[in-house]
Amino acid sequence: MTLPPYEPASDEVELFEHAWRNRLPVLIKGPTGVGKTRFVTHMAARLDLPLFSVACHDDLTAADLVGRHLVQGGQTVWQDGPLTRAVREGGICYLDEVVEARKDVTVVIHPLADHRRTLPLERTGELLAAPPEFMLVVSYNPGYQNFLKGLKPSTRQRFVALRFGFPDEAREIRILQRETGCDALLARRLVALGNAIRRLDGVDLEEVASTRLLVYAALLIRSGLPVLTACRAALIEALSDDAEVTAGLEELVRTVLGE
Amino acid sequence: METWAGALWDRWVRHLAEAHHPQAEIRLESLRRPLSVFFRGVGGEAGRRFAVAERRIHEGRRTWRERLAGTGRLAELPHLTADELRLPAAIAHFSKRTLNRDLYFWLALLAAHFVPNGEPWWLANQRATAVALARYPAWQERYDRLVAASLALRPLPHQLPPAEAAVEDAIRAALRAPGSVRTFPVPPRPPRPVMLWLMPHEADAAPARRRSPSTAKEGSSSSATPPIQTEATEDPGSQHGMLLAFRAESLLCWAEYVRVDRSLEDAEGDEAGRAAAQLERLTLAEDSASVASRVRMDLERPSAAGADERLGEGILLPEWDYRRGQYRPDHCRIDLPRDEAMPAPLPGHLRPLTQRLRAELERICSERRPQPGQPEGDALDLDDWVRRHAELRSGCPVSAQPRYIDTPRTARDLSCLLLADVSLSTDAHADDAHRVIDVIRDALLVFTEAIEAAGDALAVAAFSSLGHAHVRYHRLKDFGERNGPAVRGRILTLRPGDYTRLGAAIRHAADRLAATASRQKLLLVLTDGKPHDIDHYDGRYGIEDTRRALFECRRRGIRPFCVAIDREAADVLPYLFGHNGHVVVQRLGELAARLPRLYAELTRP
Repeated sequence: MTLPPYEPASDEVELFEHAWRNRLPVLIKGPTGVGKTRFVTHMAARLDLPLFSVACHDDLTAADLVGRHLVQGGQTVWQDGPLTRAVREGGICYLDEVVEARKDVTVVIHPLADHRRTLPLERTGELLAAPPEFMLVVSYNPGYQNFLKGLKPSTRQRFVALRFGFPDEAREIRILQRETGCDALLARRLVALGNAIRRLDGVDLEEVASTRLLVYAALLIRSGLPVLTACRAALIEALSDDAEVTAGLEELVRTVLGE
Repeated sequence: METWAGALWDRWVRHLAEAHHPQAEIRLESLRRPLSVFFRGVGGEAGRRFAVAERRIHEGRRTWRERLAGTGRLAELPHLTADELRLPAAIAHFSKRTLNRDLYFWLALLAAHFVPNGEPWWLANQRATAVALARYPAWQERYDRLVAASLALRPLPHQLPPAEAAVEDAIRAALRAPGSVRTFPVPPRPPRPVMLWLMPHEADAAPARRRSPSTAKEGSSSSATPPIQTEATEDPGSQHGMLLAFRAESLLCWAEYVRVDRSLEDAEGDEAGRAAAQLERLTLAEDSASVASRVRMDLERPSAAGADERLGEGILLPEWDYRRGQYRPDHCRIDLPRDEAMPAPLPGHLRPLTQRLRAELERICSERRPQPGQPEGDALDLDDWVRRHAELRSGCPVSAQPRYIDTPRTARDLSCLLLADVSLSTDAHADDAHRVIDVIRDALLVFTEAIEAAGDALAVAAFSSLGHAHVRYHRLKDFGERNGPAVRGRILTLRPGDYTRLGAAIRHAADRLAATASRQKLLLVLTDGKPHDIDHYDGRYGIEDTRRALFECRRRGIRPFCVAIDREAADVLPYLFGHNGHVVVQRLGELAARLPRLYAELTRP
C-alpha cells in the first residue's frame, strides 16, 4: 500500500504510534482543512491497519455505527456498522466531527474508549472484545462550538488529545508544493495570502482559509485559470457571503498575488 | 443680473480650478468595510477605525486656477491618529475610477506599515512605502501608476521659485524611488500635500515625538544597583533614523517594526519613574511639545484629579487596560438607581404593532420539531416500525409496541437581558419629530410586551456613565418581575444620561444573566455608538475594554449580540461583536418592529 503523504508538524506521528501500542484512544482537535483526516489515513497506512471513517452528522445514531437488521428477500440479516467492523477486524475507527453525532453515540463509545475495550451488541446479544490492533480515533473542531454542542468532559477524558493548528509557513509551502506540484513562488505567495486571511479570524470571518482551500486554489491556478478567478472561486467565495467582505478579500488577493 | 453673472463665473472658475472628476469619484462610505478587511489582512492593527479626515487649511502652493477661484486652501489630508486612520470622504483626483479606488487601498496599505516613531514625515512615509512594496511586490505596478498619475497633478519644479523647486524635486524623487531621499531641503512654505502619503497631524505630532526610554537601552553596566546615567542628545525626531536605500535590504528589516505605542504607555506619572529606575541608562531629549499636550489633556478630563480616588461601597467591577495587558481591579462602581415612576399604560400608538408582534413571536418561538421514537404522537414512526419488524422476524426479543413521531412544543430554556445605551448622544434627533431616546423607549416598550408572548425570562436595563465611579445601571425590569404598568412607567420616564462606559455595563449585565439558571443566555446590547467616557475611556482604550468584557461573556456561556443604530459605529462592531454578532438598523423608525423579530431569529429553536 502506498503511504498517503503527510508532513508532520512535530512529534504527532510518534505520539500516535505510542497511543496505538498502548491501546489508548486518540482525540484530534483543530479547525477544518488542516489535515486531521489526512493524518489518520496516513497513520492507518503506516501501521498497516484497515481504516473505517465515519463523518458524523446530527442524525447519526448508535445503530448507524454498530449495525442493524436488514430485510433481504424475506430474510432478515444483521449488517455490521463501521464501528463493529473495525472491532471485529482490528482496525482504526475514525469518527470525524464527533460532536455532531446524537447523544446515544457516546453510550457505545464509552466502553470502547476505556480499559474495558468492549462493544456490546444489544440487538444480537453479543459482547465483542476489541483485539489489540483496534483503535478509536475521534476528531472535532473547537471553533464551531456553541453551548449546545460540545464534547462532554466524561467523553473527553477517555482520550489522549492532539491539537492541530494551521501549519507554519515553511511546512505549508512544502505541503502545497507536494500536493499540487506548483512552483515555490506560487506556493509561497499562496501561503502569505492564507496567513493574511487568517488575521481576520473572528473579526470579519467565521472560519479562515484552511490549507485545503489553498491547495484547491493552487490546483486551479496550475491548471491554467487566472489567479484572481481561481482565488475567488476557491477561497473568497468559500469563506464569506458578505459582498463587502469579499471585496476586501479580493484586494488582499491582488496585493499578495498580483493581478 | 450682477449676481447671476457672478454665480455663473464662480461655477465656471471653480470647475476649471478643481482637478476633480466627479464621474470617477469614489466615496469612503462605499469602501469602509472592504478597506477595513484589507487593512487587517495586510497586518494593520485590528482595533483601528476608519474615519473621515477633517478639512484643514494647508499653506501649500496653489495653482493659478485655484487662486483665481479661491479654492484649494482646504484639504482633507489622510493621517493616522492614536486609534483612527482618517481618510478623505471622497477621492476624485483622477479621471479613472480604478485609480481613485487604488488610492484608498494604497493609503490603507501604507498605514498598515506606518510606524510613527518620531521620524520626520517625509522619511516615515518613504520607509513605510519601501517596506510595504518589499512585502507585497505585486503592488509595485499599481503604485507606479498612482505615482505617475499623482505627479501629473503636482506643480512642475521649473515653474517654482528655486527653494520650493528643491523641495518639489525631493518629493518627486521620494515618490519614484522610496528610500532614496535621505536629506530634505527646508521648505520655505509647506509643499503641496502629497496624496500618496500620510500627512503629519498637529495633535499627534506631540505624543509621537516623545520617544520611549526603551529606545536608549544600550549600555552595559552590570553592577547590582546600576546608577542612572543621563545623557542629553539631540531630539531623535530630527535624525534620519536608519532608512535603507536598497529595497532588498528593507526586505530584511521589516521584522524590526514592532508597533508599540510607548507614548501612551507612560501616561501615568509613576509608571515612567519606575521604568526609568529599571534602565541602565537614560537618554533625555528635548521635547517642546509635551507641556502643551499635557495642558490639552487636562482640559479634556475634568475629573482627572479624582481618577485614582478609592471607590467606597457599592458594586465594584474591574476594567481592562490594554496598554498594560491587565485588569485594573475594582475600577468602576455601578450605581443602581431605582427611579420609582408612575405606573403607566402602553401608549396608544404602539398598540397595533405590539399585538401584531406578539402573535408573530408566539408562532415563531413555539415552532415545533418532529421527534421520532416517542411512545405517543401524531404519526407512526415508519423507520422504527420497519426496524422492529425486521428484528422480530430475526428472532430478537423486542416489544411490538409501535413508536410514533411526536411534535411537541420545544421547551425553551432561555434568559435574555436587553441592555440599552441612554447616553447623552441619544438626545439627538432621529428625524423631524423624534429624538433617538424616544425611539429607544418605544422599542423597549414593544420588546418587553412581545417577549412576554415567547415566554422567555427577560430583564431590561439602561445605562449611562459619568466617569468610572458613576456607572448608572437602571433596572427597568428584573428577571422574574412581571411586565406591567410599573415597568412601562420606568421605561417611559427614561432620560438621556451622560456617557457610554460600555465595558462596565456589560460586565454588570453579565453578572445578572449568569445568576439565572437558564441553559441559554442572551445579552442584547442596544447602542447608538462606540464606548466613550470622560476619564480616558475613549478610542482604543474603551474599545479594548469592551472587547474584553464581551470575551468574558462568551466564556461564561453568555451570547452577546449588538443592535446598533448608528452607521458610524459599523466598522468597530465586527471587532467587538464578531461578524455574526451584530446588526446595524438603518432606519430608526423600524427599530421597534425590528428588535422582536431579530430576537425571534436569534433564538429560533
